[in-house]
Amino acid sequence: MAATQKDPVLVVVQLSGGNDYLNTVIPYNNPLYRDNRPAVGIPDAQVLPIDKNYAFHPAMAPLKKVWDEGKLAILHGTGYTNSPRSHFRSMDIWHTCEPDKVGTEGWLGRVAREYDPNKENVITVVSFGPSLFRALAVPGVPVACVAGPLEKYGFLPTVQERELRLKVLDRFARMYAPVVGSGVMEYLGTTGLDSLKGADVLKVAPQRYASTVKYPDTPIARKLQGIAQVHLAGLGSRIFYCDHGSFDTHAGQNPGHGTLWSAVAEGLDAFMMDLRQHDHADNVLVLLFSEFGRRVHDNGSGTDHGAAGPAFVLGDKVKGGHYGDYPSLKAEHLVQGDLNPSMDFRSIYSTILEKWLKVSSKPIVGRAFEQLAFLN
Amino acid sequence: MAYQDDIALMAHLMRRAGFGARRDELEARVAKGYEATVEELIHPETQPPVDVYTLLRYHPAALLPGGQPPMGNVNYMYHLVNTKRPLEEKVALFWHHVFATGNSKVDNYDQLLLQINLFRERGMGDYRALLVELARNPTMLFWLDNNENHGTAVNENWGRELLELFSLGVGSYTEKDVREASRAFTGWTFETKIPRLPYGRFPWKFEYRAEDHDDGEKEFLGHRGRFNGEDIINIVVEQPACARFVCRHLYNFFVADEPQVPAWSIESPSDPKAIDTLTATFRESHYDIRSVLRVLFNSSFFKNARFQHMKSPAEVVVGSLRLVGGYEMPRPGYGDLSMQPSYMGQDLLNPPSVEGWHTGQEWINSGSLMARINFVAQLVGDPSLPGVRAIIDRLKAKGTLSPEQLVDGCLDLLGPVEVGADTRRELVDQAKEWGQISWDREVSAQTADKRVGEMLQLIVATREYQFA
Amino acid sequence: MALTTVARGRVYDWSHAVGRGAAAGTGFNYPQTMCLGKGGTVIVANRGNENNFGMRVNAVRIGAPGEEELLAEFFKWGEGDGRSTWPFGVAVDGQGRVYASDEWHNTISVFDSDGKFLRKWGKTGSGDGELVRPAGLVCEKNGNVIVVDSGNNRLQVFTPDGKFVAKCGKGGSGDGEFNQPWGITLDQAGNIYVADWKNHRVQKLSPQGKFLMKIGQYGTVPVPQGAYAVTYMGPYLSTSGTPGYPKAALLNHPTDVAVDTDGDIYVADWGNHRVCIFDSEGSPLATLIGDAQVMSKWGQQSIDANPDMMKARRRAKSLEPEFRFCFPTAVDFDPETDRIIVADSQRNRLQVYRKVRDYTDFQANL
Repeated sequence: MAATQKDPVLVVVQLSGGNDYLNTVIPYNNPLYRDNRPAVGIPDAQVLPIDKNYAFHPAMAPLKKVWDEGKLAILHGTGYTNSPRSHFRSMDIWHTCEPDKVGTEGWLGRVAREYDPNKENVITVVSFGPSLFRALAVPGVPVACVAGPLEKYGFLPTVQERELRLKVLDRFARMYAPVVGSGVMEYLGTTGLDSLKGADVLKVAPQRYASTVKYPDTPIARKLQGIAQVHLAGLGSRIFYCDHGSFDTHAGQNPGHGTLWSAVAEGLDAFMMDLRQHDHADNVLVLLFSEFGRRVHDNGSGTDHGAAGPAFVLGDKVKGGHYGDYPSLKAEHLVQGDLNPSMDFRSIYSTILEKWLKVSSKPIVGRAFEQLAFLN
Repeated sequence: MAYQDDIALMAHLMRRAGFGARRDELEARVAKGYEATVEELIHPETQPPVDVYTLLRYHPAALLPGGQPPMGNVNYMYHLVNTKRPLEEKVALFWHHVFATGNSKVDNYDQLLLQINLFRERGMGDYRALLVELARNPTMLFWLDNNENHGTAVNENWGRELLELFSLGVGSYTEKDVREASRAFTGWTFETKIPRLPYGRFPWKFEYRAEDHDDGEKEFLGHRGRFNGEDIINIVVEQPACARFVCRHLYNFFVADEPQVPAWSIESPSDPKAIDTLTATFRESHYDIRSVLRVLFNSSFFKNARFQHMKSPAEVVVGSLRLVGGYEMPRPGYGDLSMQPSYMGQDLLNPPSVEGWHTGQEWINSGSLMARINFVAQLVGDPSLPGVRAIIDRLKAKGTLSPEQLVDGCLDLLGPVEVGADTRRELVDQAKEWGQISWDREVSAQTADKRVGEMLQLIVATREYQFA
Repeated sequence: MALTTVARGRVYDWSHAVGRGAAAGTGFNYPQTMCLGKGGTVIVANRGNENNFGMRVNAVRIGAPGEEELLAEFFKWGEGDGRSTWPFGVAVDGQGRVYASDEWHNTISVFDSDGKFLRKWGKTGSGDGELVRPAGLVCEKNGNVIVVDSGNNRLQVFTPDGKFVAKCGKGGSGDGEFNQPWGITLDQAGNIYVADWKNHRVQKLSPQGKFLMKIGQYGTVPVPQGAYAVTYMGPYLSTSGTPGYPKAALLNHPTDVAVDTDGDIYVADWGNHRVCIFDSEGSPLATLIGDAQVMSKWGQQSIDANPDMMKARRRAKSLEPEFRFCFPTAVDFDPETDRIIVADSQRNRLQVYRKVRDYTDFQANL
């Protein structure tokens, strides 16, 4: 619990379902964009140009602001070779850094093990969602999974009466008192008490939290607000994870894709404002990624599974700008109709690990990758 | 109290050979007899199948669910909750764990459901035939890359896992055997299927391509010949190591938690005689799983192994839903319900790797423990659910309950569950704070309902309740 | 396989397919029921899935081959007026108003012909005017709506604003009794036809609800060893690889019925993956099993955008499984065009046939 307040913190926002590259960072002056997007192209009049070649989706206005402030890095052409175009497999690859075989350990779980090998802080990693993201899963590494509102987090939320609840949780603690030397019962006891402790610690976050920032009423904004609450409470959490979706826009991409991006962009806008108002923004880095991009040519109403996509990193310490190259849209350069990845996603991880989280990247991502310049 | 012993034993059988049973079902089964119940369980064809048509009327997307959850999970969960053939489902879950195949790569829940169907149909029969069907199962062929296993370029993934994880275990074969087995399965692949766009998924079909099969001589586990895949399986099942491997798996799944597969080459079973008994049956019956299960469930080592098994998330979720009732018909929200095991660490139809799930105490971490306790507590605390109502009604029939009677009554009707003295004392202390409860007046009846719900929640939160 | 089916003086010619799988916009998502609108449009109730995608009613103009056009989408997933959880039945009245049932909330919502929400009615229960899992709907000439009150195993008649008028039927398998009925239609004389789902038959009732006739009895193909899925996942999963269809007049969970201007009766034989055609006396005429050998317009767009899909199609040994119905849920007959329209539910498309009246046979020795 003694972590200094300015330890670097990573917030991952996973765009689940496969975010469409071409309509996120729009090559609006490239005629091939228009040719390939007869049905779901964003009209010139609506795009938000960030320079003479590229524009953001109109729903990303709050992120355009971050770009203008020079605090948003666009990581172009992210992916890996032989993109499988399957949600699960692709997501697993991002989570475990294992493009060639089935991996079981998550990259951020490994970071947590580095940070807290003795599990002194059971909330080093806090995940917002009902299930444990594989990126966080390493056997023996505790992760707090907050499925609903933070206020309700804990054992037996259905026992609501305050007094009874306190009593019941007290009994729970006594019933889980580890019996030394009893094997599995002892293990259950320790785990139960760890979990109870995590809930106790997290419980104070919403109590300590006060803010004038209004978050939008979207699932992602609620998750980001939960992250802000825990971060601002100074409980020593270092890694936060949440997701939003589904970006799987096979049909009705317009306006669906815009709705998704407004939620993410507006949520992040509120989140960063909240942190800044509390002077707690400078040690936070946000990573946005999706498991793959989408097909170059639309299908008349949406786009199907593709390969390369964009990732984004934003934060007060980020050097904004383009990193890497936007893959070519020319037919002869496409792979099965998809943008060919030009940046290995593990380069991004390595950079974040080395330059931000200050841990050695090789044991986590497998080998050395090119370091990118979006962080000093 | 002999009758109470019979109930407890039957509850044990139904937890292990199925997903638990409510008290009225236990009573009916006790009346029928233990051995007769075992016979019914190992002959699922005597009971009606699940009404899939009703599932498809209300959740048509559960038929060809594609690569994204949860509709495949809905299909599976509907079967688990509704089956009148509990052992058929339990055995299918067993093979799903042993022959672990995951959506993470297959990206196709339709195919995974078909594989589960294979386990339902063949899981209690001849293990040799099951292996042959497994080797022809397109889901498995794709999962372990046998479609990339060519006469001219051998891919050893399937050949290796067949020996290491599906039949013999490490140490019972050489690298050369892996190579030769893999050669024998060249040409075992599937037809190119009609792709998913634009009308949805079509199934894979097994295809044997003779021109891609390496028909040369092989030397495998001391045998020599121009073996094809089925010959390899015939040799495998004859190995003493195979009987032992399958029986240790059955013991670990149905009888008591043991260290998992990777430890088997160094650690002996905790009850070697039990394994010997099962192994002998396996061989004498020519690999008939049904015969082995009959011996297993009727053995004293099984009957004495109460609460020696940490419930898997599937057992937690399905067992609870069947206990409380009310989840038989499809309904909106079945998707989230069917994902509950994944929130507790067991993503059905998507095991983490071909090694299956890590079981026993590895089911438990701080997150999964909270998820399982809260899920069960929320159900047993809801008196509007028919199974909870049934528990309340049985307690109510006893009249006014002292704190001890409340605790013991709830423990009894949730299992019977056996708890340690310390745990029981905490439960009784809590009940004492409430004093006697009774249903004799409307106001007190409401309170009594609530107290029972709270006591049930406290019980399912105990360490002891995590075991079956 | 034949695109033209000739049987007992009738000729049915496959015309084209419409739609593709789509959770929104141009396509369908598990159609449960369907009805005809004006000018060659169909209104389809799409069930969607548990991710809360795809639920909606959409209006699609069928047109000639290659002309399919999305006209409107409404009754999408969500809470509140004009939204749905479990859309099921649709019907259109003489003014073009669309009635749609939500079998989770047990309500009937009414929309104008552009899909604008007008009102809704209905509440849960088994009393007069109350509903449990309302399924198919049909409008009578006088504007009243007949609701297949499936969970209560009966039909109920309502005025357009939801006042209870009459009811008939009860649970059971006798004449005039129902077991979880699904679709409904009227013939020109106002006789009522109901797909009596769990009784595996169609019942014909008088406009007053009196039992007149029943068609069909349970039957499906025997399931070969190792092919549990033959009837469960479509007609093409038997180990032998050949499709199995049972004899005519054997039905497996029929879901809908249509009657043409000659009185011929079309039954969506859902669980047997076909449409059975009977004459007005109920004797079998012909069977349609789906013949979608040509891609729909929207389907072709999907293929064009996805080169890997095209590659896979060209490698597939046979595309025949794609031609066939897979759990067809609804059938309609359009008297203006003599078209038989089938909602091919698991394939998320419609297949359109034409009843050919001026067919002259060719020389057999061509």
